[in-house]
Amino acid sequence: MIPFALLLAPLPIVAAALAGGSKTKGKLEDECKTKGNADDLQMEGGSWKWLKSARVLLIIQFWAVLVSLLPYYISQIPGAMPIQYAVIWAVLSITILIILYAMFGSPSRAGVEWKLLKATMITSITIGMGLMSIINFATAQLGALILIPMCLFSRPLRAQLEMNFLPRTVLLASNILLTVLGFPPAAFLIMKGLSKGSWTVDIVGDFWLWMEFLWEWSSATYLYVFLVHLPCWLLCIHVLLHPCYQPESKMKQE
Amino acid sequence: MAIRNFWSMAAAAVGFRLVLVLFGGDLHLASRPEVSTPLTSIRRLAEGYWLKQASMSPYSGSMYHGSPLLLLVLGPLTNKRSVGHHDHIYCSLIFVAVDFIAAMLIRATGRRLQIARNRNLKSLELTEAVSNSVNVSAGDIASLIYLWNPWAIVTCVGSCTSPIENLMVVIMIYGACSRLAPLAAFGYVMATHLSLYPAILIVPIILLLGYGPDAPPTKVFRIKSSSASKTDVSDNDKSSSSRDVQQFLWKPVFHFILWMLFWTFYVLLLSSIVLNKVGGLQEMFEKTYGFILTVKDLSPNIGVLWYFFAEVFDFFRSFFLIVFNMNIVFMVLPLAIRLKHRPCFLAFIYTAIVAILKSYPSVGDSALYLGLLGLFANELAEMQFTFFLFFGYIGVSLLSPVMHNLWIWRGTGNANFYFATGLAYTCLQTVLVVESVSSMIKHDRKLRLLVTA
Repeated sequence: MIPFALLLAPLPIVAAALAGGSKTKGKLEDECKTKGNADDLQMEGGSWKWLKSARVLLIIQFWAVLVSLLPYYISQIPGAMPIQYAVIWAVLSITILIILYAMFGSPSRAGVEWKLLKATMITSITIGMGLMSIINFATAQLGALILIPMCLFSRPLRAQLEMNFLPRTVLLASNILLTVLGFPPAAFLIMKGLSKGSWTVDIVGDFWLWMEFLWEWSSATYLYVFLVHLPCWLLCIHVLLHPCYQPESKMKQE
Repeated sequence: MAIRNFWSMAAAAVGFRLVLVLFGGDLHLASRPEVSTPLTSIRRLAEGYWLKQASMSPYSGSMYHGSPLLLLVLGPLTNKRSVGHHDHIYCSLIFVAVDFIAAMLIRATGRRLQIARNRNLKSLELTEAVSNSVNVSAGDIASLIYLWNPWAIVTCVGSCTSPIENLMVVIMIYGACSRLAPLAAFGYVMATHLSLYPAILIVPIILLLGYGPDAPPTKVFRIKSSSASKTDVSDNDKSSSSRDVQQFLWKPVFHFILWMLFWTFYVLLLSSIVLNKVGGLQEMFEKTYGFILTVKDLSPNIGVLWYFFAEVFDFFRSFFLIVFNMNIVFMVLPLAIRLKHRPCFLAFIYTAIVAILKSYPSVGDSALYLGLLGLFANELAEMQFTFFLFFGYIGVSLLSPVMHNLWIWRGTGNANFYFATGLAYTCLQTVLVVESVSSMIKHDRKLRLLVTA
């Protein structure tokens, strides 16, 4: 319990720092505004800029709910192999995500600041981890070991271009490694490999069978994987691939 | 600027509610302690109606503690059973309509506040200075916040009478903003009759009828007039002074009091007729207002009073009952003195405080004041801690049923778990109230600085 609490404790502080830092930038821009540079993009005050990132989070959570409901309908298809079920699941999930982005706007085009997006991501895993630690502590602990480093280290790849070579290389390698590890099937593969010692090739089919097992037993781990872990992973991808308007806007101002 | 997709989003919200009402019977929201309270539960109303049909007092079963008028209106609907649907489906359909009407009235109130705001800024010559920072359509935002609030949806689908109480409060506020004394009085009397706590809203209602909608402090207009008089002749000074500084109009207040007395008498008469031969007004007051004030039912809810009075010694119970009930009343006068120039915002603050401190709170109370909060989106644009308030509300919403499940069903938790969630919820609401009042005061101070600049 104590290591888990120590692992979870920095999250609100980081979220506060990111949200507060964004607010400070808002104030600076307000000072520019009083000088006469009225920026139409700053219609809302600094305190409410997180609404866009919250909107992104809601879209992704809605997508995660749909993804978690898909296996029930996919399993009705007769006479298919687990790997085929899993592929159908993946294709449908990606298709639904693209449709949702087309309907409600992609995070890349929504103009969300990456720091607010990261703060939102950290807040969502704080809530998710807190809930899961009450329901199933072991799952929460394992998930925390994967998710929390992934989230805390995440930073837009474009923002890393401003850093020196060595820190940039280390951070880039860390981000890529943690993101690959954070993907649920990859995490499942590693966990299974470490626990059983056998590295199977049919990872996709095994992942489907595992999810089916969790589903049939009404396990909370199923909800955790799809409502906490997967949305957080997708948000992390968005933070990494963020177009990062901030330096460009600074250059324009200069 | 108005929201472009307002009507499609409003229609989608109503459609979402209808889908949940018709097909969401497995959710069992009516049994959630966060949704149904001893005062708002439709199940209890159904039992009260059954007792009344059996020529007994609806309060004799010690389950029903609501209004006899609700028995008259909603009682027959609880008897109808639709095959394939969950119980009380007709009541839920009525609540969908009630929620929609409340949202439309919130929108109309927002329109009036917007008109008053633009007029005041124009008279202060601050339209450009303030509108550059933020100028959104507060009525549309508030309406959509109310319609899409998950707590309002859960309350509507979960078969409890909170939407009707919320509608009465909204009718009261809209009537007062529009200076329609009969409508404001009707809303006031009905809201007070249904749940007693809206009685304290008489202060903002009278201020709204007397002074009109929200405005900057009188001092700001006086400063503006004095600065204008330095560069202008005394005749213009007098005319602008008399034009800008609002005078208290006693005529609509007098009309409101007359209509309030009329509606009170009418409601009591109807209640007396309904309870004829099966009780009386005295028993109604004991079982409704008395039940509220004495906190007899200690079943858990998302407030904090149930746990406190379960633990307190009987010897001190009367003392703490007085303390807790007077806690709400003590906040009325200081807030009224400080915020009398913004009576609609004052009504929002009172509603939020009631939602925090009432005996049997539910998420329906939060849905009401969060919707009213949207009316002040322009004034509260620089409110702080909004990020953590938003996610705190989400966290508590998810945590509360988990804690309840651990306590009641799994047995791995205890009452402290659920009470801790209630405490966190109360702290969040307190932060929201304090921050919103602070932001409104800062906004008024900013207006004064802009006038003097």
